[in-house]
Amino acid sequence: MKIKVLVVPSLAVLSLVLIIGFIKPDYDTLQEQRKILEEKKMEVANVDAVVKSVDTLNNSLDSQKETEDFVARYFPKMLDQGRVIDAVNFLASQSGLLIIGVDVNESVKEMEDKDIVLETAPSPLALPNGSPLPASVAPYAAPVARSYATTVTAQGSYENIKTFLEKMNRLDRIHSVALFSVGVNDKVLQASPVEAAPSGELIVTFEANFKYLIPQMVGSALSVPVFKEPALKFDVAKVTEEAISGNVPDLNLGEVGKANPFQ
Amino acid sequence: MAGINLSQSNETRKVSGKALVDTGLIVLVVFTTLVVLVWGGLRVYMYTVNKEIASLQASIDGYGAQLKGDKVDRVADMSERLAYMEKNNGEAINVPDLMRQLERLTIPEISITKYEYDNAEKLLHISGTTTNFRFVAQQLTSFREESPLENIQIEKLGNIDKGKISFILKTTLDK
Repeated sequence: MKIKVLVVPSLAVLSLVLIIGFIKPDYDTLQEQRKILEEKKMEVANVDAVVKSVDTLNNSLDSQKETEDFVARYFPKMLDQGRVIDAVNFLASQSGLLIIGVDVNESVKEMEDKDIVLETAPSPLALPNGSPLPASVAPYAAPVARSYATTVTAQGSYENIKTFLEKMNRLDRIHSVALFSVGVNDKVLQASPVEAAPSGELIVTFEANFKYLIPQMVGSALSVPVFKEPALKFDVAKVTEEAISGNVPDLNLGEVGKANPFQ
Repeated sequence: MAGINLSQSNETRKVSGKALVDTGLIVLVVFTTLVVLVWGGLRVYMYTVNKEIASLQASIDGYGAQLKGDKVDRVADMSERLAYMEKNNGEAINVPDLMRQLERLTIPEISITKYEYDNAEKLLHISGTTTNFRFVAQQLTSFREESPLENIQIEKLGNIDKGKISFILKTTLDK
């Protein structure tokens, strides 16, 4: 009887110790683990979706090989000053203009463009379902385009200048107009500001920034916004392709090699 | 009165006290057993959940190779190029259109001497000559009828020299 009397409170104390000291902390831990489990399940689903997206987008690129080639030519992967000088020279000559000068400035990073690109990508630090990127995945840094300015100054009639500007507008090479002017020769104008030359020779100065984008290696597809998208924006390339015309033939190197380069 | 057993109530109290201890003991044994079972169940469940987490993490790690490489670089590169192209298309200044507009809006009495656009400043300057201040006013009005020249204004207006007046107009192009 006495033992029984001792056992009762002992069991009560044991139960309380188990509940407070073990079951409650384990229950809290379990809740956290279940949360982690749900996150992992979601992560697996997202990773799976991204892996499928990589394949899908790659296949779409395979099926749009011509568009991919067009983009590679329109927006090159490296500095191509030779091609641009050749194109400007070709178009000016084809338009009947006399080239006075061509100037190429050094390449610069288009920092402002990077900001815009990031703006278009809603949240590079999140997975497709909006959950945060795993800590092991480095955030995606969009590559920054570089550009160099090319200035061409040429002389010709108004009609020829118009033709040249039209052709430059349809050049199959990404560029943005930085400056252009069409007018009477400055020397003539300074000599007599009121002597306009309505039918005479005009001077055109056309400066444009020619962009190129050096490809970069991606650390993980999880952080790249495009893999959240169902498809690539091929329509942008199509619209561009329709707006331009391939009126500049490829630069022909001709004969290469000279026994005495200083001769 | 002599036949009454007075010790019976003490016996009953002893019996009911013993029964109470027995019942309490049974209840507590059952309760403690349940508590131990619940704890054991929790530990087993925790183990299962941990195992599942480890298995899922292994799956995620297994995807590593598929999340980088040529395929990923190719798609990401194309996407960036298309984004730049889209932005460039949206911001592009159509120089031939500006020329056509100039032709359309210039009045016959005006001779344009220079048409200059600076994209960094978004500033457009149109210089010209004419023979009468009235024509300058007419030209200004004509330009203002169409976008993006609706805010064009006089920057400089020269005096009559050799029967001609030179002028410079300016405006900003937002696009």
